[in-house]
Amino acid sequence: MTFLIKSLISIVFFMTSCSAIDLGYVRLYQEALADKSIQVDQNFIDSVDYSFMHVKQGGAEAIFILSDSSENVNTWIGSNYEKIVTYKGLIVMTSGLEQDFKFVRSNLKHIKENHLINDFESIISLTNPDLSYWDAQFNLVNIENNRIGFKNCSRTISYSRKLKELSRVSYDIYCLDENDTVISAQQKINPLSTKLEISFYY
Amino acid sequence: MRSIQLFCLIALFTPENVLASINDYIYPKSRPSYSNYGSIGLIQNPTARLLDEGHLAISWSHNEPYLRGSILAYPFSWMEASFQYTDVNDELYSEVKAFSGSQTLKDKAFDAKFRLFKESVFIPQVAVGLRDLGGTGRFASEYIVANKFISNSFDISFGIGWANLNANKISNPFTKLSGRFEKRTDSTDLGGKLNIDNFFSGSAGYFGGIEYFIPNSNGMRFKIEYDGTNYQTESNPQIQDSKFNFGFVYPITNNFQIKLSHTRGNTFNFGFSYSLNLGSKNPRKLVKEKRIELDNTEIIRKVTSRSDENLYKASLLYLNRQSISLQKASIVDDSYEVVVSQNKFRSPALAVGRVLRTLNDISPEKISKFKVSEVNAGMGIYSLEVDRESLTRYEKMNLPEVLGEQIRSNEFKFNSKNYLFNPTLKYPAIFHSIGPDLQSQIGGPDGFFFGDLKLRYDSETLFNRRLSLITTASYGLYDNMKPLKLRSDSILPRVRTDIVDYLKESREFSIKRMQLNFYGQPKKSLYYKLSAGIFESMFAGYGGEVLYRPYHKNFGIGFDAWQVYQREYNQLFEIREYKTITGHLNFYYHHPQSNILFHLKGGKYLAKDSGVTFDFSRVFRSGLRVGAYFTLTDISEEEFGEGSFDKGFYFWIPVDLFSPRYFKRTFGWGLRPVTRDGGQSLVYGYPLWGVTDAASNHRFRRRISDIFD
Repeated sequence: MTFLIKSLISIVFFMTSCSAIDLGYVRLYQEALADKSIQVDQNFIDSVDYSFMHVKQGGAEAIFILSDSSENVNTWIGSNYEKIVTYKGLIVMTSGLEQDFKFVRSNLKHIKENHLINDFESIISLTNPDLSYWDAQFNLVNIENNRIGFKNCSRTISYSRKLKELSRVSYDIYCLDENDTVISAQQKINPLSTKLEISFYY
Repeated sequence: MRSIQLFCLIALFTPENVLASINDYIYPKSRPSYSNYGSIGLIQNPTARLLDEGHLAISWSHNEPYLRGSILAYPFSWMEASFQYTDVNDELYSEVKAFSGSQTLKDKAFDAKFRLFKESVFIPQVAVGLRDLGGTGRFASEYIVANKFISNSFDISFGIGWANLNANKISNPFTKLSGRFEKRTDSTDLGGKLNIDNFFSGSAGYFGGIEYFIPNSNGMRFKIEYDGTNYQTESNPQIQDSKFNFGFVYPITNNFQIKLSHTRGNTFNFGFSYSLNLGSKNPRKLVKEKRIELDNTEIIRKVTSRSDENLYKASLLYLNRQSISLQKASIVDDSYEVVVSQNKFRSPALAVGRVLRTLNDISPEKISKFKVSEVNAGMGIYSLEVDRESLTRYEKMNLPEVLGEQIRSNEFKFNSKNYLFNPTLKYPAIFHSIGPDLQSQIGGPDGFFFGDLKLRYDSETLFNRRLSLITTASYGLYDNMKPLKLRSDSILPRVRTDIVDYLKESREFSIKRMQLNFYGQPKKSLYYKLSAGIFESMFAGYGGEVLYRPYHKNFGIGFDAWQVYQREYNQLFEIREYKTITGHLNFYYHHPQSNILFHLKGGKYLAKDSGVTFDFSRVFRSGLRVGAYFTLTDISEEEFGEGSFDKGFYFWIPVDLFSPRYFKRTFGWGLRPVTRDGGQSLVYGYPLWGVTDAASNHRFRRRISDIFD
């Protein structure tokens, strides 16, 4: 955002033949951008009576509340009724996001049998732009204990994610605690968007 | 056979974006890129591509001997409007060293491009464009160009150009329509005119090229073109060793691109561009601040049910937490009416939603109807009523549009005596802020940029609801204005062209505005304002305006009249000899489908010339406003001077587009290519059309979806 502020002021700097430019907007921007992030600290966690998921994508953050849980398939609801469904940290379906994602339903059994254990293939659908029933490959790349840079993770598991005919590969990372519970994950559900970083608080 | 024919017909007119596939991910719909000329194009040639409406962009190219900066706006998906500022660094600003020293020549121009056909499966995208409109004509040209995507990775363009784009000669196809297209006349010395007679006239030439998108690269591309630029028509002709140009574009982000090219067979070029879509409701996809939810609403309702006084006080407290100020309130039987004012939410529906939901939380069960009215400067803006049951039901179901159908909205005349609860307001109330400010002068013969960095003080003092004093004063911190010496050559009263004297002599303490305003509303939809004091940096005086703005209509009619006195250059309290009466009739019309605001004003301007100003702007859902204007008066082009007539463009960007919080403030600026004295209007604070901005049923309904945000 600092770059954006500078470029906006530079525009006015450059292009007006004669003007008075109110640089008070600089302070307004700074004030407006303060406190933008959600501080998920111990106070925040203690203040919330229910399980929640902290989601970050680029500069945007949100809290999703756990609304349903069944056999490790958790449904999380956002403040504007967005929905994210996860299975052990893997996003299996979203609804209401700018770019949605889902595994085709019949694949879920297959996912449950292989996620965090083996490679697997699946059929997925994306939106914006729409791509329906497309092959995706998930390959187990790495399992590491106490990986550097992941200090709260007893174990990290990495998967590569690739769509058929698309040469770009992205990497999903799952962070597990000492009880083998996924406490956070990073995954790029859409090749054209930035990755989603999710943290779980039960 | 019939089904094949039907398929072909559908495919012919089906927009490409309906046929999505993996190619949308291999070749994402990357932003079009910018030419060295500054607008969307290949390398030198234009293309038929445009950005979606609501985009603003800047572009910069170093293309020896030209350094070119451009600002572009896309008020519609079928239109690109741009302003080009070119430094011609192999020519001097003037031959007179005492006048402009060694400063190089600066050229300014407006361009416009219009899409005629949108691309479909078989039909190319076609656009027509005009370059260097209203400028000196150095780069003037017209063109018609077509673009077509082939196999997702190749974008082919081909076009016909005139004047500066006619290097590859062909016969002018328009001469078959009329003989008047055969010849082209020279542009006038003063510039600034639209030489419509020259459009598509004279020799024509062709140009074309290919843009190749590298797969899986998020928009990297190579370009090759057959240059249509006629360098011999430029006043300092450039040597061209080859007509083939080559280029490469690298997108750093979705919005920011850098470009390299090799042109004329002998010149390397570099440039960049940045574009932003600011037109949609929440273009940055920020999570906006939510309404502050109340805890223990049941307990609050128990308390408010005990007496009306409790409900009034609870309303005062809880609305204040939403940054909404309760002015008056009354409970009559089962109806609760509140009068509020607020300076936080640009969307009237958003403000109303905050009020209604808060009242719904705290009001006892006996209240079944709410009436919310908004005032500004003591004038009624709108009033609306809704039954509580509908509010509760549709809020639960999150159906703002359905609730909107239950809301009755009307104009509102504020009578402060009609209410049972009248919270005491302490006057005078003073609001103030201090911050940096920058005065600048760009592009004159004395030098390219002169700036004066100041510390600025703004205040608004409310003496009562209707009487206020707005003050802007500043103190100079640092400037480089000393070398400025350009004197006005205007033969009209120098109402603006003494700008250099104003800039230089106000470098220390100066008062930009000290304007006393009194507002009134004699009838519903009829508003007036009386003002006196210092209106702007160059004029002080007294006067007023009247505006009739019916709530349910999309027009407004008014007039303003001012007795003004020209201020001394030091911008303190002294005045100069020049004085005049200036005033205009104003007609506003807001076209609801396109959201274009037309403002036509006619009357007498500051230099005692008379005429008409046409101003048209488009307001997007985000609050972004992009507009242009021109003024024609009874003075001749020679009397006006360089530029021939006054014109310019502007945009207003809501500050809160970049913030999760809501602000009503906008960041706005305008550009006028040349400062002259003809067609100049008084600039005064808080014009009535802006103060009554929310007095529009269309404005409320357009953003009805905000009511539960």
